[in-house]
Amino acid sequence: MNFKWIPIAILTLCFMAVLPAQAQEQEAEQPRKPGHYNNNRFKQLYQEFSTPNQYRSANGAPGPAYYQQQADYDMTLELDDATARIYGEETITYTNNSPDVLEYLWVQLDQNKRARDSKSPLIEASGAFPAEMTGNFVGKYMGEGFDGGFKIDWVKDANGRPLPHMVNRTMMRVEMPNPLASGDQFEFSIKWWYNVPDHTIDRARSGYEVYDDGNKGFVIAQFYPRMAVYSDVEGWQNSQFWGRDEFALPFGDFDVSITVPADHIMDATGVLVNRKEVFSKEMMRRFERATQSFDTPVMIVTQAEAEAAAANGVANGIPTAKKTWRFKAEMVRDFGFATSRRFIWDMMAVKIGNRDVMAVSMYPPEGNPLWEDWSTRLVASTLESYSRMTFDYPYHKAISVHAKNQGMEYPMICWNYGRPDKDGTYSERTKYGMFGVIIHEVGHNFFPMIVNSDERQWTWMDEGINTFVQYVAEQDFGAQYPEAIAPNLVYPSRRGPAKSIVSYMSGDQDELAPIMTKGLNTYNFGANGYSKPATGLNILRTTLMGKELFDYSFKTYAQRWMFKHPTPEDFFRTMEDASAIDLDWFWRAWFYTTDYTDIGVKEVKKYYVTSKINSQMKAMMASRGMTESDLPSLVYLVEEGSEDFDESMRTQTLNDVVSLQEYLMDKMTPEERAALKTPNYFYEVTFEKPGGIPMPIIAEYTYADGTSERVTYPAQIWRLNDKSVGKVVASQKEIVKIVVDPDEETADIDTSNNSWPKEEKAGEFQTFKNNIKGQ
Amino acid sequence: MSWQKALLFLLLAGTLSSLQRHKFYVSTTNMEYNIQATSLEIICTLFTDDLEAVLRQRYDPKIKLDHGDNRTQNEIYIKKYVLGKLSLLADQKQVPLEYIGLAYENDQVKIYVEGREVNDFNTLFVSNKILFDLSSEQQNIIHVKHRAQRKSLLLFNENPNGLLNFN
Repeated sequence: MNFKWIPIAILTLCFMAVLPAQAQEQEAEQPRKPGHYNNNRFKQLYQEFSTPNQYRSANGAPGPAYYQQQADYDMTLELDDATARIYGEETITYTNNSPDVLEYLWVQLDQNKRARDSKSPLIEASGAFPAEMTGNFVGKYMGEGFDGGFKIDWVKDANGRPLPHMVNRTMMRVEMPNPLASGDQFEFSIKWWYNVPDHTIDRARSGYEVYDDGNKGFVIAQFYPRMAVYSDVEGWQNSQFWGRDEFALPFGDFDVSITVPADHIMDATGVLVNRKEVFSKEMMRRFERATQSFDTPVMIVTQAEAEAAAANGVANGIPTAKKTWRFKAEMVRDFGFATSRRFIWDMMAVKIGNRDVMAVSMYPPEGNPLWEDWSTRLVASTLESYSRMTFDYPYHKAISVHAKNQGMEYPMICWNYGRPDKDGTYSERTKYGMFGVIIHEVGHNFFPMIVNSDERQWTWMDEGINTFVQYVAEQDFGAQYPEAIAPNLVYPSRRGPAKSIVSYMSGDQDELAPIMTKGLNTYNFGANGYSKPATGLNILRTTLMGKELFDYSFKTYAQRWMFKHPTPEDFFRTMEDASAIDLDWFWRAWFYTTDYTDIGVKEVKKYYVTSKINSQMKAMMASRGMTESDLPSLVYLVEEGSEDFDESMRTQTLNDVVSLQEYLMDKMTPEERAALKTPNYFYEVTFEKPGGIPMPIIAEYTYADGTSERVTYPAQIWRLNDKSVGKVVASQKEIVKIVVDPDEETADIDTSNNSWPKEEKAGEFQTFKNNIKGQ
Repeated sequence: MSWQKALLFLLLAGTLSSLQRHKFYVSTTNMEYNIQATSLEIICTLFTDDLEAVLRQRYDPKIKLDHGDNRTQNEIYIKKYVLGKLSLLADQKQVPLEYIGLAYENDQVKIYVEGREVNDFNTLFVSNKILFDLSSEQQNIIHVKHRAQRKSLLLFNENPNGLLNFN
């Protein structure tokens, strides 16, 4: 240790004593400013947060009167492969656990986003242009468009009596014979059908893809009328589905029977309860083997078998024989399934806590070789990482299905992109795109499928939080499978590191929205809903809270809200409650504003210690009619280059300061004196903060002998002055360099002011150009 | 429709469809004027697979950018493509562009282009049609640093040009 952080008290006192005189002189000329509200950046979020209540406690946990509704579904479906239509009939049992009496129920009709009378295209601004691509023109003005949307045949109560219902775009209000009292259940049924869209054209979150051989692969979701959420926060969450903001769904139990052509292979949310009916004996044997295989996926349907079934479908047409697959799921918020005759299927087991979970992949041959190599391993690794960060994955399986261009999540099942070229080679982008999306979508099982936040309103609560854990899981995967990421030594995560968000946060303020904005109304959706919140959590974890406190608090949040509906405040409050770190300033800056970080070194003054009175003290004494003999024993600090400075001071040490020596000799024993440090170098460092976010100052001091030392001044150093702050540094060695945020961990948008003496760094362009020339 | 109006519409409405939650048709071009060198330093950052897709359509369906051996031939295509799609006027004078090189970074490619012998300017007209021939949803973001000012443009298919004033 060669640095004394608490300067000898007497020195500090004297140093401070010279400052008020200057301040007084300036004050007289300032006009009086008006009063103001509390604008301190460390003010608590009382205005932004709602008052805690019986439903949601002040500590961020569910309150004693917390409730949530339940919606159980009993469904029978048939998929017509040839016409790409789904016909369904469902019985919904809705339980009103709220204290309120409900006069009506709201059911979500997401497919209506694609109905011919959908208003979604109408909110997309357009202009008349001198020229337009022919295809666009035809699509926009000449075609009738895809006939999407739910066709509701009927809505009936348990006695078969028709129920009045009103469709308002993507929401349907169902009237009950009597209002539904608190604690009561209501059972009703809906029959419907719809045209499944080609998701590769329509870019829908579900639909089908036509492979080159003409066979289809179906990834099906949002396929049934789904109950909306009724909660203490929103009442009915019936904000329309415009196409971007995802879903708010209550938990419930599902019993779903799906009939498809007999040659299809299917997997879905829930336990396959009639496995013996739909599996061949060979498939059963392979499945049993997969449940015992913890390191290598076992093929349930091989590529050769998938290709043979596909070829047979092309040669002989879709078989008329059908098979019904039946799945049961408990405590899920949704249901999805994937089915095709052209799917390869593999599985392996992964130990989560004391349970075995199946990691599953389903993919057409187009996905290979990437998919058979990595998909199932990625699923298993992701479940392990997320379970470590939150809670043991509670479901019995997690499936990754390969669908072109898709990246979409449902309970236990998700669709993912990542397709090699036809010759089986693939680019780094394809590979890391596939790795990233599988980790991300499987991770969504935790957020929002289990920690069931409201996606319609708060994109960041599932996408942002999930993207943060995705970063942790990617790093884990890279460490677990170095051969998958070679020649990289660490997984090249795109989102997470603070540095990666700088370009977004330094953008034009007119094009930025705070994270706490509904997704539909943000400008740069990906950065706003995914990257910025994920980066914020990563900064909390690595810099502001530390891994131990962060991980404990994050886990507390996940466990408190597992199988419940949290709000942003529940998250913010829990993170503080479990860590004893006041983070209101960070939530405000990072989530509620578009502020950015910019902290630098403004000025460094070097001081020398002397017992000779300096001119500032002389001036102060003169103004108060004092003489030097009126003063107690003092030491004086003289700025390098000032009128009191002379070159001989450079070689002086503290031993040469007579008043200090006298003091020490009088007050201390020789032993105590020997234990003292002798900081011969004194600096006043002024840090500046052009940015709005009050981040900690991470200062790296480099000494003349080449060693360096880091000091982190907590963010609260900015509490009384938001623009600049001075710090006296007493050192035993000469300081030759000061760098703020040397590891770029605070998302500082302008690093040109981060060094003293100022460093002229060659720009990225010049550096590249010089390298090219050097080759 | 003026570009400002178009930009405003685009920003207000958001043209991203559901799938762009994971796939963005966006490129970023950073430019900075270097007064000592009288040069405009330009770095275009594109998604590698987008560039690859457009080069395949235009030149050769077998092109592979970061996982093939034909680096030299690929660079000839890239140079031809980028210089053909990027056009700059400094104070209404055409800026001669020179291709410097490229670097792959994970799933992105950075292309370095230099505007030569550019005198200090008040206005910069930027036309960037890179990848507009691949996707009608492509957006090209332009950031220009000049005279301690930082100005941005959002260019898209119907609106591939913009004028920045540094006066």
